[in-house]
Amino acid sequence: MRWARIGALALAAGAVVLAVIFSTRFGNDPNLVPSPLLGQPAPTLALPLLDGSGQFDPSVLEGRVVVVNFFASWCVPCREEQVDLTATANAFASREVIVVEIAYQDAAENALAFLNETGASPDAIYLADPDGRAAIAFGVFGIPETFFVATDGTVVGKALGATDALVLGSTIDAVLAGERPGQQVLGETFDGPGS
Amino acid sequence: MLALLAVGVAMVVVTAPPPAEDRAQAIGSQVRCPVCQGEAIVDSPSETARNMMDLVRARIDEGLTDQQIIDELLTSYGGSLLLNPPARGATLWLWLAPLVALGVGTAMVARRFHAAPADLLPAAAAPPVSPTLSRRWIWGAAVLVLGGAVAVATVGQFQQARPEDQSLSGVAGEDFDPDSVSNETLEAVVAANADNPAINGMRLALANRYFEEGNYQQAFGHYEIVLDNQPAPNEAANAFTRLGWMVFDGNGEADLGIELIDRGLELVPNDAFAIYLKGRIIWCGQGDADTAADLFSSVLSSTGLDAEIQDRVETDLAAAAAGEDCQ
Repeated sequence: MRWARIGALALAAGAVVLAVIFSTRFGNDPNLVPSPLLGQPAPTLALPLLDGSGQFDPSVLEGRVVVVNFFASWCVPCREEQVDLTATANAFASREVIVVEIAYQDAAENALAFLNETGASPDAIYLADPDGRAAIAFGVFGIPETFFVATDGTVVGKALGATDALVLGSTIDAVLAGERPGQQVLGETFDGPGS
Repeated sequence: MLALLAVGVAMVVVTAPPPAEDRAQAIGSQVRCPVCQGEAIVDSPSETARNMMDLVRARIDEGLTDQQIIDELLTSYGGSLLLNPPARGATLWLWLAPLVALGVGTAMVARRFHAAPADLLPAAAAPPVSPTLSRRWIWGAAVLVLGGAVAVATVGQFQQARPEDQSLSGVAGEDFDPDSVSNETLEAVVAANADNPAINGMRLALANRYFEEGNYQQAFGHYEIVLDNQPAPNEAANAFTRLGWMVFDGNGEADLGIELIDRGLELVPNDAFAIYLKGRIIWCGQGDADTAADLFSSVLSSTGLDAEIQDRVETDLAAAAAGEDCQ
């Protein structure tokens, strides 16, 4: 009888443990797993230029800190951060930092219209990703997503949601100083037109 | 010689690798679509999933093995991309726990059958159930529960908490208020996507705002674009209904207004708001209070009516039924 009591106690304890786990673990977002790209070499950006004027030569990026941003004309938070991306591209151009914006699941003419309206930087690079290869290589779940690549070509930071000048500037400063900022979640992302 | 040839052909047929598309489908069924809810990329119609399937097919054509292709996707998305967690490392428990449970259960059943001859004795002669047997049952159950707990806890290590005040992955958070997006922002977004049918819903939301504000001039253009832009039936009905009301309310064209609303009702029959507006036009534009009252009554008999609309319809019904002129 003693064993039966201990067994019943063990059952009850197990049930409590299960209940706690079920009640706290669900509702977590599997897409929030830290990007496995952090600490790995950044995918090569051999993509067509967004304005259709030719192919981008990724060797331009070698030895520089690169900010890779995925955007689209249908993405509401992208509209918020575009001004700050442009300002950051202008401000950091002299410090060997380059901003690369890649249109995600968007027609080139729509993406260009978006840039014409919200502003673009002469120092930034705007690329098309017609078959989504770059987005897959970077493991994009929803946009805006922004990656920070160190001078040695390693991905050292990732931001989910709309960035702003402060986040961009401080993260770039950290990367220039040799730090690895890691992943930060700033806000909502959109996974497709109409979402 | 012929027999040898036949054997040779048969061997080639047997050892030939599966066709490329079969391989692509098999890989695609293992990979989770990153923008969907638990759907494989082979099943999802999303653009991301289609792009990933195209990549899988391209890599097969380039001669990569299935594992190399899956590894390439895992390099960018991580292990959570697999619909079945790998049977190694920390997720090994997920695979072992059911096996352990099965083993324990089989052992217990086997012991029971071993003791079966005793059951053949008359009930009065049966020995009392051995305490060791019930002990075994309890231990077995405890092992099952704890094994399950360990498995679920292990899964949790691969997740991070969702921030309370933010939403991700395209799913708007509970406290995201669509009304907080200004008309100007919506205008800018729809302008940048002029011919994209995917944003018809967004354009309709904007047009409906103008409609509610009485800004018919702005609303009109957006409804027209929606109708030109491959609308879904409910989207077209929404546009026809409000266009119908606007041509009556703005220009006094009762017949055209009713015709437009009827086109909407053909697409979505029994739409309460459309029937209400049609009743208003018949009452206010054609002076037919009786027909209007019938329509208002039918609106009130429909379920799930918006409280504000219900108030308006009730007021109008009372007035129309009393034969009053419309206000």
